[in-house]
Amino acid sequence: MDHSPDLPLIVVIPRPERGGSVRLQPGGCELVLESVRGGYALLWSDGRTSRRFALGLLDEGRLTLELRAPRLPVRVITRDVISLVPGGRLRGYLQVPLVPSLVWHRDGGPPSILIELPPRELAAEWDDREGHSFRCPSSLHARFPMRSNEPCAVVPVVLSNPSTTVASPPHIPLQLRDAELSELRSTVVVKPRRLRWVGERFAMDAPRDGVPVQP
Amino acid sequence: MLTASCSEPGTPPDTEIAAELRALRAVLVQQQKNSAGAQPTVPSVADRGQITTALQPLREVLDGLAESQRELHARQVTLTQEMQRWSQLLVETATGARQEEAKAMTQRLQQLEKTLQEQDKRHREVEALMQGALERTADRLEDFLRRVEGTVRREQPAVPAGTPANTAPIKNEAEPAPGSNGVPAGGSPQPATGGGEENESGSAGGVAAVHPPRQWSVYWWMLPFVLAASLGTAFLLRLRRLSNRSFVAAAARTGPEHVESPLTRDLDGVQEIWAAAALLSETVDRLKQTSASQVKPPSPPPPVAAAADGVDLAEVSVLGDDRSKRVVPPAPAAPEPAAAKPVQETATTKPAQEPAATRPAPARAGLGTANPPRNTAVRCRIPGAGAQAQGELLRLLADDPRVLRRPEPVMTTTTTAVEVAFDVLPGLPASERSQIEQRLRDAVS
Repeated sequence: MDHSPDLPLIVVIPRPERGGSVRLQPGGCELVLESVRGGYALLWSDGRTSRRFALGLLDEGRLTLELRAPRLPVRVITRDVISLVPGGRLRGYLQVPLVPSLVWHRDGGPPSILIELPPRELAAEWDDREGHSFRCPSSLHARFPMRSNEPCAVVPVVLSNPSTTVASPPHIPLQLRDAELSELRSTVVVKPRRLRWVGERFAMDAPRDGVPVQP
Repeated sequence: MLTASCSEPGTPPDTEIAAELRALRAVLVQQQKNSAGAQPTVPSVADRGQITTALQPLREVLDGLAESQRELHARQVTLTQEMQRWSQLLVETATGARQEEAKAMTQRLQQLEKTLQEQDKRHREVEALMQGALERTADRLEDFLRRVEGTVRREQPAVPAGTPANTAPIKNEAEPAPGSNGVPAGGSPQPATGGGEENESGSAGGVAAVHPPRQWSVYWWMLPFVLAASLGTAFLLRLRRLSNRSFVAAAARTGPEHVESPLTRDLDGVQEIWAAAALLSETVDRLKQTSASQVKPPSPPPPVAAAADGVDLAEVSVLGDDRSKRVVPPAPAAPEPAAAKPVQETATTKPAQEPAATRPAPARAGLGTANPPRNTAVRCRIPGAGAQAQGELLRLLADDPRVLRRPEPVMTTTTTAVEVAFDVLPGLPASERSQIEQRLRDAVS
């Protein structure tokens, strides 16, 4: 049995021998892959609920556990009330939960997502105007890195208020991509987001290439 | 007669009779001259006096009745005011919590009701008395008319002489009613001629022998005239009573300021008493109903509203229970319209970086339009699920991150099963959908 306490973006799950198992702990969850007669059994638990999957895998190919960005737009609800005076700026870091996904990599073929294990912090919604989206809470951190046992991505944000009114955003809209996820100082970070308050909402500028912005 | 005889003791009787006969002849001659010219259409002064005297008992009876009615009116007004005050106090007490005072006032109301009944009896007695007085007056009028007819026939020669000799027969024959004054004995002058009823047997024969029979036919119109006058008087009295009743009815509609006559005011007081009695009875009924409602258990709510909406009652109750039991996720502080726009802005900023499957759905219509069908909606029917299982089902759906928090899962309870409708993440495999449904079924079973 292999034990992996770290939170890398991609973890290759070795094939257990017949009758054996592989145990992974991505964040607060626990994942056990067992080789049973006729296939593989995957047991997942987050401490409150557990799910069991039956997998039929080939000998050719590999199975990975990847932390992927949420596929839907995310509305980050800050636990701190944000107020920006006209012309004011605010910098900080937000945390967005990542989705542990079991991905099958076939030799010479595109990867296939077998199982997605969305965390509880990501609450999916459907809106009449915008469609599907995630909603998650986060604090506006001032320092980087911050310690977290949950698989999440750190999003540096720079909020500005070029308008003539005080900005008090209800949430901060974000859209993450898997390609921009990177590991830095034992955390997963994305490119910083620059958001401008244009009146009742934020407009996002193009992300800056490179390392996150140091506030 | 005695006074006349005493005043002139030295006059010989033959001389008096001769003088009287001469006077009568002169009067008859004068009347024949007058009757030859034109028939008089109005009664003479003596006739008017006789009619007035005849109507005097009726007038006095009416005055007495009016006086008694005034007294009754004053008492009724006082009683009515007291009853109104009691009614107001009872109404105020019925809404309050002073039950003991309410009971005491209820007893007082019963006493007042008894008093009202007695008062009503008295009113009826008074009305009967008035009817009897009118009837007696009519009878006396008839008797008077008969006597007048006979008296005129006998005393007609003495009338033109200017002496009030016509009042003596009335005094002697008219029987005054008990309590009524009748014709005053001392105030009436004695006939100068001495031709009263006491001397009727003696002098009438002489008069009848003097006057020819055809001369009495001159006064034939007196009989229909007096009859018409009596009937008119009775009719006027009847009309007055009817008009008073109509005035009372009008006063009940417009107020007591339009009532003019005392009898009308009295009848108005009676009406007020009856109105106050009706108010009192209504108040007592309210008190009884209030006491009964305090004893009775609360009645079930009427199912009119649910039926009016056209919704099944079972569904309404179940939906109400669902609302109370539904586990609502913590509401975000962001208003929905403002929160949706930045996401759209983000999506429009980098449209090519996202796969088509993750793109948000196109904007929908506003309120009042039906949501288009979503491919992420899941509907399952769970048989055997009761009301207690709904909470467990809702908890499972709320804990599952694959289930959308918005729109919230909806449960509809039927007689045999619970229908659950919820939405899941887009792109969720069918196996996971089925697994969610199975988890719900397992939770119920």
